Amino acid sequence: MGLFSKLAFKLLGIDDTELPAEQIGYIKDISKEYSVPEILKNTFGEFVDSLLHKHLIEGVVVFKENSLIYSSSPDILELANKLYEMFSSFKRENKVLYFNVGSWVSMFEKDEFVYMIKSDTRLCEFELNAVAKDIAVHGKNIFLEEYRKIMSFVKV
Amino acid sequence: MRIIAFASGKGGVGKTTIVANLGIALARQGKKVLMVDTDLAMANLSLILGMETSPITLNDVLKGDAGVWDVVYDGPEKVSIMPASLGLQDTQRLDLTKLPGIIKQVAPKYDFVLLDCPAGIGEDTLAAMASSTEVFLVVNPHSLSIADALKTKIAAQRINAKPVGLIINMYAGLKGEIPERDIISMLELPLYGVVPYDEEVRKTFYYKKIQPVILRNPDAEASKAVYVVAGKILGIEIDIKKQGGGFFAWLKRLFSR
Ligand SMILES: Nc1ncnc2c1ncn2[C@@H]1O[C@H](COP(=O)(O)OP(=O)(O)OP(=O)(O)O)[C@@H](O)[C@H]1O
Ligand SMILES: [Mg+2]
Repeated sequence: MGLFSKLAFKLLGIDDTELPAEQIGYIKDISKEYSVPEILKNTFGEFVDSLLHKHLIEGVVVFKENSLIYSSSPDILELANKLYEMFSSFKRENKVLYFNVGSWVSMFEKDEFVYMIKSDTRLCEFELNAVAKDIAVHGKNIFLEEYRKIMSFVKV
Repeated sequence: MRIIAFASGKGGVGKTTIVANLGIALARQGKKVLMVDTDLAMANLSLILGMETSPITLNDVLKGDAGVWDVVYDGPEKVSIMPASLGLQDTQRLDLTKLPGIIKQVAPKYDFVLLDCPAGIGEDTLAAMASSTEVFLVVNPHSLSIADALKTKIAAQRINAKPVGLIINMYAGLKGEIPERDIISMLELPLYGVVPYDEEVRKTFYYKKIQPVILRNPDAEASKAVYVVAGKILGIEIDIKKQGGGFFAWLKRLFSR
């Protein structure tokens, strides 16, 4: 750098010898805020939390052969049942049906299961498939256990 | 068989340049290589490789108008290329969900399938990453590029794709560039190589015959760096001096311009 620009930098108080701290802070913020958690499998609650967090979704409901088999929370069941009926009458092979109900609700069938996923933004099929896959790979036993608990509760 | 997607988030960091040159470097090591232009809206991989316009492309396969093997062309140094359409009209009606199946169908014939991703983390990039067995991030040593690469890494992990490595491109050794070790620690991925900023790369387009730098000038700093990346991917050390081909090869290159 020439003497003149050095002087100008000094006068204007520009320090170009340091890395831009804000910019690096910004990158650190991204990694903190959006980091992708491992799917946890110890308890039902942990599993659902990590699943929703990983995929940035609000809720998920799974049906099989016209009956609901699991849901991330009870408060989306009513919506799920309503939309499931609609989905069943519209259903096309390998196609996702999107509903805009304030949030986005996506419904699709995969390996004999029907998934309903509620999210803030409209997810594409690669994102939806990843949710379904995580449930199929990690969640089956946990959901089944939870399901049995509910069923035994119902019997009493 | 490895299917590697090269993504960056930020545009213009050198994905296509890296894919084109790396593909040739791997082919020179005796590997069977297919390069796929998954930048379906802004395709240019086949241009950088100096190929003529292809009559049918990946876009036609995605539309269901052509078969997979109809769009595999011969490129330089025995590499195969699956180009995308250079036209403006052809990005409509594309069913991107077909891409992973298409790649799966051709991949077993090759040792390496390199996917040149578009900029951004839209559905097209997700489609390419979902088709891959591993994802490499290409970054420039600047915070904007690193931030976008981080978002790309997160998007990849979310769809269960596997980010495995990092390539720093256009390193110029200027003040204000983020040092290598900081980039590694911010992205938390192993570094596969640093390709310097090199005017020789831009000469790809200077002459009548378009040629990637690794063919036009194997002794260029960028070419040597690409061989280092290829070696690291293969887990071997490549003798870079041999790749230049000596005085006669140089003379031949000089006159073939
Ligand atoms: N190491 C390098 N040194 C000098 N110039 C380079 C280097 N790598 C790439 N370039 C140049 O940078 C420009 C952008 O490169 P390229 O098209 O490969 O980027 P890209 O990431 O594929 O862009 P896009 O996001 O638009 O697909 C080109 O002109 C290319 O020649
Ligand atoms: Mg490109």
